[in-house]
Amino acid sequence: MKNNELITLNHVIKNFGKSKALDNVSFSIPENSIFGLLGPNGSGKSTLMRILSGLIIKWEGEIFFENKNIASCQKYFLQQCGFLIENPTFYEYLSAHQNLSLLARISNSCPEAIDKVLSDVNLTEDAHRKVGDYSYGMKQRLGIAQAILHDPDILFLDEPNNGLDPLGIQEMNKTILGLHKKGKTICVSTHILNDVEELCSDIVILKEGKLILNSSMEDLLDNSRVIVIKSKNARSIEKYLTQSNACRLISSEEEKLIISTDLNIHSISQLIPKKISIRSITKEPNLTKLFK
Amino acid sequence: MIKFLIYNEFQKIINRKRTYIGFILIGILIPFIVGAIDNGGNMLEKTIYGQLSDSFFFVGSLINGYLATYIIIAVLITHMPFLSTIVAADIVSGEYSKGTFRLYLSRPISRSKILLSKLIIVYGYTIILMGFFISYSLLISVIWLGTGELAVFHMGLLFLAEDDALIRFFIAFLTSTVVMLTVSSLCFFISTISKNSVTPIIITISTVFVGTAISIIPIEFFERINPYLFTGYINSYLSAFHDPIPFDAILRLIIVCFIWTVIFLGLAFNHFIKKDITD
Repeated sequence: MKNNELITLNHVIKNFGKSKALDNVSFSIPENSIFGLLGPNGSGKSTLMRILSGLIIKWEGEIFFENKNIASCQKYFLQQCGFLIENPTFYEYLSAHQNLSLLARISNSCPEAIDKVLSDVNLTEDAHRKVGDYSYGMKQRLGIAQAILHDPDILFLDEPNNGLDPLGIQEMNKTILGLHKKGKTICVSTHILNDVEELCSDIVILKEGKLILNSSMEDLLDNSRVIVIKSKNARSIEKYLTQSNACRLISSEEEKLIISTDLNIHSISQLIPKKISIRSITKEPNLTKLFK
Repeated sequence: MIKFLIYNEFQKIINRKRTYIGFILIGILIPFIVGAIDNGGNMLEKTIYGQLSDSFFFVGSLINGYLATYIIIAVLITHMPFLSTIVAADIVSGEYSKGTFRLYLSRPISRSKILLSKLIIVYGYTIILMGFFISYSLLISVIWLGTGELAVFHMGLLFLAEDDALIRFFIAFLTSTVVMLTVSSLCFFISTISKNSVTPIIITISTVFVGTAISIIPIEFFERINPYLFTGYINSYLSAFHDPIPFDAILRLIIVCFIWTVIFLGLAFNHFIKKDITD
């Protein structure tokens, strides 16, 4: 059964001067999912996070939260969300406890929540040290602590594993899974595909501001179902295949289609008229290849 | 909510070393100046009253704590914009450059309230700094040199009654603070559009410098525009030592500074509320 759609983005566009950071992006984030926002650097992941967090104000399109346009309920939306955007930044001349106190005062959090979240991310012993003396991993954990300080239902974590060593990544993933178990919907942006396979239930892939893939991990990782078709006429092929109920479109690019189907490669090629030249039809064994 | 925001801003500035630079400098400099006035008192008296000594016969010393404070204000008032902009320059731009707005602005609070809390702290700092500057000067000077009539130049030599001195210094504090608040407002505005904390200081001080030059250079055009520039009022504290005190001139100062302050704050709020935080 498909989860309810908690957040829906409709035709979101953001331009920075002449460059398009987000180009007509539409997708939905299911409730109680760990949603992976994937893409190489510069694909628009952080821009999207900044739009959702209210840091970027000038953009086009619509975003709905619980079927309400966030433009009309932004305060309520932000109350339900916790954000860790890019690398963690804090007031370095203050301690972790003081930093969280500042944020608790403006997030309607009780002072007891500070000790609890510091304990959740294993920073209790260092709570009164200046953040300037923290290692990168500690700052990243403090970043998670500030995001969950007001006990939000939804967490947006932008590259939470960035700059962490393998042990730190393992700990961070454990923390994320732990938060998901507590019933939180988590949106993680990353370009590290191993994280995605380990954590996410649904993913979208952005490339140069465009949405190129939107699927559940279940579909993607089922080796027998995912087929990649490369052709100069990918758009035409898309038309023929989507007419057939046996194929579900995962991603469509200028020269590449990714579909989910129970049919084999031979049957798929039968569905495509012979006049359309195909460069290749292959089954993709893993996410890394799909990502390329 | 606004009281929490103000408390947060207060906590941020009291934990920063740069907040204390102005107070430390004033704290060190003023005893030096008072000591120098005490040491060089005779020479100073001769310089001030040199030409008058042919016509008048002075009994006792004219150097006292009030005169020393008057001299200190005259010497240092043009440098106060440097000190009063220390906090204003960094309070918004510092958050852009360090990326801490990512933490702060993704919370469910309006940006105008956040900016207002910062503005209140900037104004509080400016008022306290100016208050410290004048009251500390008075305290050190009076302890060191005692009190007496205040002799100043205004359309000739003017002796102001000892009993009036404190109220005149208070009016001098008010007038100079009004101008300094406008300077801080300019710096605050530049801070909202700049991504580093040096630019607001440079632009503000350059503006004060150019404005002061306009008020000094005797060119008709400059003389015509000078009354409408807040920079022309930096030395307006002097009017507190005229007899009678020209309250109409002080009112004009307040109106001009208020208009400039509204312009700077309007631009600051308008820019900050619409700004995309991309750093």
